Amino acid sequence: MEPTDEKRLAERLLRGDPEAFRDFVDAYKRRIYGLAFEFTRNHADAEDVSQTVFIKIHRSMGTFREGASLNAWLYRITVNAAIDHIRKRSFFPSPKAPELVSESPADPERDAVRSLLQTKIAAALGRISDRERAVFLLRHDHDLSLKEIAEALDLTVGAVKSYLFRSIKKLQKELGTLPAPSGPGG
Amino acid sequence: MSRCRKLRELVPGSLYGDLDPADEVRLTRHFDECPACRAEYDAMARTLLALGARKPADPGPAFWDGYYDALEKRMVAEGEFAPAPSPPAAASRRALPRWVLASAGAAGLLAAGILIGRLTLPRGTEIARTQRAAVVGTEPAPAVAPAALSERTSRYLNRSKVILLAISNFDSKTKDVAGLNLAGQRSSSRELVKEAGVLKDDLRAARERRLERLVGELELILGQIANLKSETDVPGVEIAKAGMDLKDVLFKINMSEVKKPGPSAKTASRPSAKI
Repeated sequence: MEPTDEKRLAERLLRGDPEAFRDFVDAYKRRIYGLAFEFTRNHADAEDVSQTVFIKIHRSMGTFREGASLNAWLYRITVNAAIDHIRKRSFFPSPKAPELVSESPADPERDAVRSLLQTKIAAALGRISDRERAVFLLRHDHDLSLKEIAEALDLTVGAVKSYLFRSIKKLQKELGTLPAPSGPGG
Repeated sequence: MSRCRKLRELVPGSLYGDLDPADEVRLTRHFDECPACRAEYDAMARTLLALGARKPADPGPAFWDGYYDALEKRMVAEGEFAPAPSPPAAASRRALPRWVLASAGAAGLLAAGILIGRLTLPRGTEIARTQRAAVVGTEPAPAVAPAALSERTSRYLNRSKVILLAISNFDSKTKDVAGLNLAGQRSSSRELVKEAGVLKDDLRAARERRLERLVGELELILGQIANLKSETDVPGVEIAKAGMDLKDVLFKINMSEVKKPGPSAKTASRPSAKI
């Protein structure tokens, strides 16, 4: 979403525009679910966390400061909700959820390699700290600026740089000698 | 070496193309002089390229198409939205954020209160002081109307109590576990666990610390029940029972029913009601 669109949506939400909340959910649901999934690695939990995030947003729109970054606010709530959820879950582990269904494989061999790579990456991401993972995902997947990440996670920009550096180094170590992928399709 | 460390902090910015041109030049010059840093940079860039192979989690179009409806259903269940009414005017009101509705309602009540107060109360009463404080914003208005929160909490506790009583009264030595309907208890517990987070937030905002703690304790026990391994998980049921006994939650629920004040009494007795 462009910054101007984000600003316009934030203004509509603040005005109490009845359609704004639905538009907001539609605009952000994939990103919020995606981030929640990276933390929970479980469809049901990711759905639950993403819904909790939208409920919290709906409830606290009145506290949102005009001119503040909607992105940073939203991602702050999401990261906190996801971490809170996995901490609770580690106390009472959820039953294993079914894997997400992927499209039918066009090239079984390539799909197998790709699937192995995805599993390795997911495991590597799971082994870094919550904060490192949050910084990495917000920059790498969600394209937040370092300043926005700092605002979302209540860190200094310097600390964000440091977490980002450490997270990439750790992922590099975890992934070891993985070959670089052969392009977006492969 | 210290120069290497200092320039390291520029690396993430450079990898993601965030660096300003002057810093980019500094980094490139350093790489010309320092093959070790250059190699490290290249290795990190390769890692990011490999990470590009990740596919975003996508549960499919059916999930996305029904996403808002599922969210709305949960919000209605948790009292966030009013249940969907049929007239169009009400339908648009349903989508308004609760704080807007609460503010409008509060403003209406406030206007009515001031009018009645002017007609019936002497100047300078406690009610007038509270109303003035609300108008100038010195005391934040509660996010949820106390009566609605009290009713929601009461409903939550009653639903929890039904499950806990069933578990508590189950004796594995004399009763068949099938009679316990564990599938139903697990499903209801799961729903209640989902609702607990939002309810706790509202109770915290209303400074109902005792009830917030009680809902938190229930959340843990209901979580145990929700996560029972199977419909015949008798050891799991016994563990949940032990947790209930340990926390004495049924007693606390009963106490909360005894202590439950009426809306007006609640306001009057606020200082002594805190725990």
